[in-house]
Amino acid sequence: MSAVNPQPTIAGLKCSHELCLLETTPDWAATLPELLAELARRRVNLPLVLDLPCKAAAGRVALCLEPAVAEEAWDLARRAAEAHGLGAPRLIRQVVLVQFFPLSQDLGLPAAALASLARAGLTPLGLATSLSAVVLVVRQEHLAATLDILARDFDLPEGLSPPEARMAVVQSSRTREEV
Amino acid sequence: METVAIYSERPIKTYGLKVEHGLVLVTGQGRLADLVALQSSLAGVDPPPRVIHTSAWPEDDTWSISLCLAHDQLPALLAVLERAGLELSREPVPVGLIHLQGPHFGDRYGIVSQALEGLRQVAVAPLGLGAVVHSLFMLFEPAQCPTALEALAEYFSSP
Repeated sequence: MSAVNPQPTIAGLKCSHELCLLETTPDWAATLPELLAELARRRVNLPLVLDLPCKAAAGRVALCLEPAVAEEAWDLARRAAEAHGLGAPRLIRQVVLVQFFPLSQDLGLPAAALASLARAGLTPLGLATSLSAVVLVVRQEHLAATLDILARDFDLPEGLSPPEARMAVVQSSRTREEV
Repeated sequence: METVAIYSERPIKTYGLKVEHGLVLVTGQGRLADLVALQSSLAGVDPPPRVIHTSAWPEDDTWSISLCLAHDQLPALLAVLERAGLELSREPVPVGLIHLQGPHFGDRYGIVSQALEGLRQVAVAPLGLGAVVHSLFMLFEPAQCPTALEALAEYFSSP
């Protein structure tokens, strides 16, 4: 008996609006707090942050950012890299987060997604899970194909709401005390 | 449609601030084809290893994968990785995981920075972290978990 469902069942499939992906070289673990503190001071929201254990023991960082603040964040990251003697970070524009759930601690779900995309000749820019969902980072130009493939290869409930976000949450430039 | 949000509570409210012990962090590497082979490698493994967190990211042509799971799931996972052709980057490391979940983590700035600031105060550095949509998790050396949890509780409240 196979433990892997040929068509994995998911309860939901969602995608973000357009974002940018900032990726660093390895050895950024010690520099990340400084960069994040500066981004927080500038009230920059980060829909995804990963400090990834990679080939080396030290971390390699991936951040997703709104396009409007991406250049500013990239500039900060480049200056931090220069100050700490690290390799230059790179910015990838026009990316989207595609999220599906529930994860249920099932490694088969991210594995199935990678296999489905690979069969179609698509490679995501990265993958991470929260405790409840799988998140793929994909190029915006691959979004439609990615959603089609996942909807085709995964068992989705009838009448599911569309994956595109219909509401954006925008943070005020002032805090409650200032209002 | 656009909703304007203002978040200013101190400490930051969460749905939960939880620690899980007895975990292990496995890091491996391989080609994209090896990651794809995980699917077939899992076939016939019943029950499949239960993995709490997975991340996979490319570095040039090589993909790094990191997996966090309960220690008793390790033998099954190592067998799956080997069949898929993924090599371990280093020996599996015992870890504890601290997890915080929203509300609104995906919509507000400064969450990860606040967590790292709390940890800095007690000179604890996570071995890895991820803030994905509404949740934040951090991996620590097991002995550092109590100190890390206490420090995070200064900045984040849970019901």
